[in-house]
Amino acid sequence: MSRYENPLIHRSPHSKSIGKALKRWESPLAGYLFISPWLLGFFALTLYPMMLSLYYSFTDYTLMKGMDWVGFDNYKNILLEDDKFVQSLIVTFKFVVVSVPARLLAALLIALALNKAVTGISAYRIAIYFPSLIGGSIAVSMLWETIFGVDGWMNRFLGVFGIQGRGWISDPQTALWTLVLLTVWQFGSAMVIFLAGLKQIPRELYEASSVDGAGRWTQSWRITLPMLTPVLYFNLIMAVIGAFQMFTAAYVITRGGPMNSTMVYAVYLYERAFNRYQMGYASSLAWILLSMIAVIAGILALTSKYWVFYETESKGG
Amino acid sequence: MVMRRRIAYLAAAAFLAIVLSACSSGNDTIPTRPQDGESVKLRIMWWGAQSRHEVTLRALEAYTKANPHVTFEPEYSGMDGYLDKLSTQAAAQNAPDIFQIDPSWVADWASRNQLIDMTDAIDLTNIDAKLTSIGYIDNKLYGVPLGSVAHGMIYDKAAMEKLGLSVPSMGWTWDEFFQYAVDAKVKLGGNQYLTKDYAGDYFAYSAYQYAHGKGQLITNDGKFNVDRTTFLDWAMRWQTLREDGVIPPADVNASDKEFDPAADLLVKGNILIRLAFNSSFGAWDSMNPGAYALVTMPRAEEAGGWLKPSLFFGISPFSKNAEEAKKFVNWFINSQEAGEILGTSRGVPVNAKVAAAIESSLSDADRAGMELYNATQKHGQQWSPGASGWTNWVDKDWSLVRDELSFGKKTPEQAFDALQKLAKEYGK
Repeated sequence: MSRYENPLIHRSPHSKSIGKALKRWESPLAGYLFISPWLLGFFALTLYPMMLSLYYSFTDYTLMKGMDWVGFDNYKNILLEDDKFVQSLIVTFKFVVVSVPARLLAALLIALALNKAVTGISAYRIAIYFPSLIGGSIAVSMLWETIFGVDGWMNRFLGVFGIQGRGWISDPQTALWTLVLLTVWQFGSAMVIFLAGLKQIPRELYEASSVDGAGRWTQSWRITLPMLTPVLYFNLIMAVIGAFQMFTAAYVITRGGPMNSTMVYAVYLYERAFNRYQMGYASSLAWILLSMIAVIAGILALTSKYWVFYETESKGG
Repeated sequence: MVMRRRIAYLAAAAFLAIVLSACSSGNDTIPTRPQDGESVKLRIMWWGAQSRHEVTLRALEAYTKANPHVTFEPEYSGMDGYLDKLSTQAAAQNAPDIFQIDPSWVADWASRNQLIDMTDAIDLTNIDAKLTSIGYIDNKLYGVPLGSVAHGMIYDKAAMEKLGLSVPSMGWTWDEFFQYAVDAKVKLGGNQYLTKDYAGDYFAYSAYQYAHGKGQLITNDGKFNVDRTTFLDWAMRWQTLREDGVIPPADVNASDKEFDPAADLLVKGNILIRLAFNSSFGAWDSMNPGAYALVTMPRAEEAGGWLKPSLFFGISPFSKNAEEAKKFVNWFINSQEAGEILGTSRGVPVNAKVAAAIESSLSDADRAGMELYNATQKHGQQWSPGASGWTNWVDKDWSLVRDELSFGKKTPEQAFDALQKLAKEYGK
């Protein structure tokens, strides 16, 4: 039996007199009551809308007009005939493949730098975490325009060195990368989790290995990184899911342009839903996105046993 | 033990009650249909520049002063995102009581049952039937026109005079326009140009096709009507300007945001001429007082510019105070008081009497707008809202082609083919 007993389940002589079945049913009831606000929220605000959108995805549903059941037509059209869908996928994959590793690397390096016992370290941590709190906001998106616009700070800065900048945001070759940069800058939550992971690594491992003559590089490679893989795995999954759904910056800063170079999946979905009012079509797009994320998360989960290292395993092996 | 369990349940129940009541706070007022004279609050939404916001807010105040039982909850913004917001609200049956719409949306919105019939409440006696015709669908008035505007161009008169350039004159031609761009470049600095890259601009090209007598880009019955020869001629002229560096490079062109003081190429001094509605003159004038002037849209065999009803007010079918909303809309267009406050912020007032009455009190900026209006009225094109359902083609598909032309990713021929192909999705 677990050391931590559920305080709501009483194992006293009195309760034995009550029927066991009843007790089993009754005891968790209080627990369910406690979590009922979240259960309600889940059913009413998550599950119900999801099921509704699944239903819509099989209909030709134009907002404020009628709805017709069309079976798999939306899916067929999207997968076989929609050029813009293909283009938005390409843009999204580009964004995910570059932004996720870059963001995790930034988070890890900064977590390593902050994992030191220096006076005032918490002040540094707060300062560095701060951008992540505001990074997803409209205000920062506007700020990005001021920095990377044609007459932005970036170009003025480059101008000091006599370099002729460009309209970073309005040029299709660079627009997506400014958005990647914005995403990387929001490394805070991943960094905090890395920091917690670093603190979990037992000191003894470092002490023992240094006695055995391991240098810093070997320690990082053989101890820190393997011990961090569970945290890395978690951060990776979260970052991938987040990156696939990226919307705000692409919508506010570039509106998917110029030349659809930042037309990420969610922006395209939004265009179908709220510019063209094709809710059925947009719901199908949403479910395709969900399936894609599920498949990719599944692949990561399946491969994780080859590279994610849990401490409990080490005791056996 | 039983006691402890009871306490646990009680705690859970109390907790749940607190959470649920916290969730539901704010929903405690049950809306009822107010009686005549009972105080009502009307939600009203519009888009525009700062100058329009200011006068509209003053008009709302004046109305409340005269009708103390009516107060307003205004929502106003720029054009960016306005339609998205309104559509979302409408889909949730939560659109404002009164909202501003573009003439081209009226038919679409009426067919979606998002507008109510206002026939019985609006006095149209002094209003030109040409302006109201768009608001009528099946003999029911779904949209009320707020003003009439002329489409032309705005130019930086101060800068041109300083550079020793001759200023354009009313009734000029497209040939003169293109020649002017080339001539002006000699006197302009490295990052200064006469005008934007308008090759893929829906409105600029519309004016060009009108001027060459080829009509609207989409016919009233919803047929693709971009004339291939005219479009190629147009796009080739721009391509030459682009290659010679007479118009801004693509990334500068794409950074332009109308009315944004930090991103409007005209306001920043990067260009000297851009397309404009006369009603927007005040917005630009306020950013750079006294610098600008208006000129007619260039012409060819025919005029390029046109007059059109600028904006409409519609009333939501979910409004609980529709009667009060109608009264307000009637006041907004027909009372001289409103006309005096609003000036030409939404174009020349639709009520001819109001327009005549306020003419003497117009500001200089409004007067400049009137001049263009009168010049365009003489030879203007007949404007039509076109077929419904093409908004996305105008907004999104043209923007893409605009960028592709400007970044040199498509030749004029390819651009035409793309527009034709994309149009197939909308054609009926």
